[in-house]
Amino acid sequence: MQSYLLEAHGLRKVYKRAKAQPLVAVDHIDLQVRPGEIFSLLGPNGAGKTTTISMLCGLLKPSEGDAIIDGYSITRQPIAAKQRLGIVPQEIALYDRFSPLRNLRFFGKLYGLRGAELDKRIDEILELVDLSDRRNDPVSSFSGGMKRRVNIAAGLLHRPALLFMDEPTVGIDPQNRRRVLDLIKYLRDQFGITIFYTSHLMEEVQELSDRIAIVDHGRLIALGTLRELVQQIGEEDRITLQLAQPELPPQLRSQLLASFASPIRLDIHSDAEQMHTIIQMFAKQGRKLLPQLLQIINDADLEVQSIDLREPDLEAVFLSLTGRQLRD
Amino acid sequence: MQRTLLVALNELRLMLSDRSIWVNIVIVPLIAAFAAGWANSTLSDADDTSAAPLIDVVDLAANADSQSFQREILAVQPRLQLCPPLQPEDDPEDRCGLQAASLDYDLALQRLRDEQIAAILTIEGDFSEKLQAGEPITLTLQASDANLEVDSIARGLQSAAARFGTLRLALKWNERLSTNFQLDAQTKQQLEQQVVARNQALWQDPPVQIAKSSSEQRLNAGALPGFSQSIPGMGSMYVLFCVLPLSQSFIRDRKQWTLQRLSSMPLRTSQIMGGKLLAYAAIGLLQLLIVFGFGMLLGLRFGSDLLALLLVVFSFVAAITALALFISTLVNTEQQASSMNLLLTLLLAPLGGAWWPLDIVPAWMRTVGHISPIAWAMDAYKAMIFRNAGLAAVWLPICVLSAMAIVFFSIAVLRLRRSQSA
Repeated sequence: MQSYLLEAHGLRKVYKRAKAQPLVAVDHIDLQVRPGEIFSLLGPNGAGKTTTISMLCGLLKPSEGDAIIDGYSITRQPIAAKQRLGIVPQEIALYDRFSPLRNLRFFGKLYGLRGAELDKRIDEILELVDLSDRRNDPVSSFSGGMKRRVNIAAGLLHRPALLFMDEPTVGIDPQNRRRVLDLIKYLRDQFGITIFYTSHLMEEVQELSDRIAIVDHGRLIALGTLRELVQQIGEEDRITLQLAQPELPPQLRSQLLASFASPIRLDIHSDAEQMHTIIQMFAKQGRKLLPQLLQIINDADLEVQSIDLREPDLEAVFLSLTGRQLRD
Repeated sequence: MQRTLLVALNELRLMLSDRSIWVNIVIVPLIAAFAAGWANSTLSDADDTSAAPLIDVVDLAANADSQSFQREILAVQPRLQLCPPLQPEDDPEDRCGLQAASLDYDLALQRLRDEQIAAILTIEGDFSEKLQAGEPITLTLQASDANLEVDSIARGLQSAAARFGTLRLALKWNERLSTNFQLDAQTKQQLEQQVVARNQALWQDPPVQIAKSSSEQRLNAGALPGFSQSIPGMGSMYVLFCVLPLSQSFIRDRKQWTLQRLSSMPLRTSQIMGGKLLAYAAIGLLQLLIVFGFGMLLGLRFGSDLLALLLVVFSFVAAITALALFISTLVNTEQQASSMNLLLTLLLAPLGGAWWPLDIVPAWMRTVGHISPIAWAMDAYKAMIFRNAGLAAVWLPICVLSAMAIVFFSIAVLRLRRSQSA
């Protein structure tokens, strides 16, 4: 019995460059997506998310590896595989001179839908994205959020088993963003559509995903549920203190390192130009250590500019795995 | 095939939904074709419609023979205006402008230098004597070097002189016959009148005539001659203007991600490409239909072999569409595509004879011009328009245009495959 809707094996994409070393955009990615789940690919810009999704959708030919969608190879049986997938690209992939109705009718016909069935699907999908009353207006007259919703409708029209959504909330206002996120959850909960979601926004991924894969520099560096990923880094709290001090006195530095020894991790970074020092502490139940840390700073008579306490999240996971922040 | 047609239909809808396309494929080409055709027709008719050249006649003989000779000139060259006129009604608008002044050589020379007249014709005082004696007569035609019509005027005078000489010869023979047969004065006069009348009748309706005619005039009697060049020429050029933007369309669709959306659907690349090519080819055909239809309204006829015409039109549009696809593999931005399209259109159109007939350019340029698909299409159109040529006469242009289409298409597909696998 088939347990995965999507299986990718050793996906690799290398771009040849004229006067430089070949660029490895995606490096041997293996992943599996279960039916009915929201699977997210998280990574900073340029990590290889769009290249991965482009190979999975058959837009790019992999240099190596393959992906099986609902039993069909995207490289060897592309037509059958593509019939089972839908795509909501980052860009508004619509003919903006046409109305939503004309766009959807054209896309629907290409998926083999005709007549009354096509009309019914269009009615349903426009109702779903709340654009029934604007069905005949040209897309060019729509706001960014409305265009996003038509973009989603175009990907859903043929009721795909697997829907790829590549950063579908880019460039829209918070209200429309909320609407899109709610719609994604609704699609999974009401229609059981499997969603492959990519984003560089940790909050979205945390909210939506059943499972998350983290990519960086084209490599898959972690995969699991949010809890599993957090457990990988030991569920540490992260405390960040900013002091108005261009350089931390050596005596104080020694005292801090002695007071918070392993397994607690302490990073101290002074910035003479910015005239501040940042102290980051990673520790299980780190919030309980905060008073002690503040006492030491206070005893040294230093001014605290800001304090940030974070429970374990994907940002912390990414930071822990790569040494960089997701937004870097 | 159904999906290819769906893509083509969508592309056509997209193009036709932009109202400016009607300006580009109807208004502008028709104005250009009409203006070019009319201008060419006007130029070719310039000899007949321009003002008659003025010729000052310094008549030193001033007798019946010299006046008779001038009448003969006007009979042969009615366009010429001789000054002073033989009769006031010969110059009703007083273009000679001599008023009461009597014309002598000095005045005529001054008028020539002032560019008031085209030439001076001097008839010597011994004109009649030499004519009677049958001696050679030399007339002097003096014109400015800058006057381009002097050769034409000289030929006209030569022709008039030949006619006049023939009449004089006939009268001289009449004189001799009358003397030999001792005819009375009345009979002699009657005979003379008959000779003159017969001579004039012969020149009116000479036994041997060279009719100025051409197949163009026969086939396209209703159309101005310039349209035979401008309709196929401008039509072909505007096919380039409306088909070559296919390369921009690929880039624009890639930028707007509609091409990627189509690629993510259950469609083959060949179906997407085929649909777009079909749409642009259809626009190219529509363009020719509009311009050629306009030409037919103006009286132009493309021969009587419809199959030949259709094959030329289809092979030409196929060649240009394949060229557009080839260009799309060379360019990366819309700006590059736009510049390339403009450059190619403005190069291939005049080179291929869309602006002027290749018959007027040097032989080497005619040869070079045939790198342009327009040159082959124009060869075929002109053969059909001027010679009523059928398929047997235009198979070569059809084959060359089809070969161009195959070559451009094959190279484009190879380049696309290579870029996709990179």
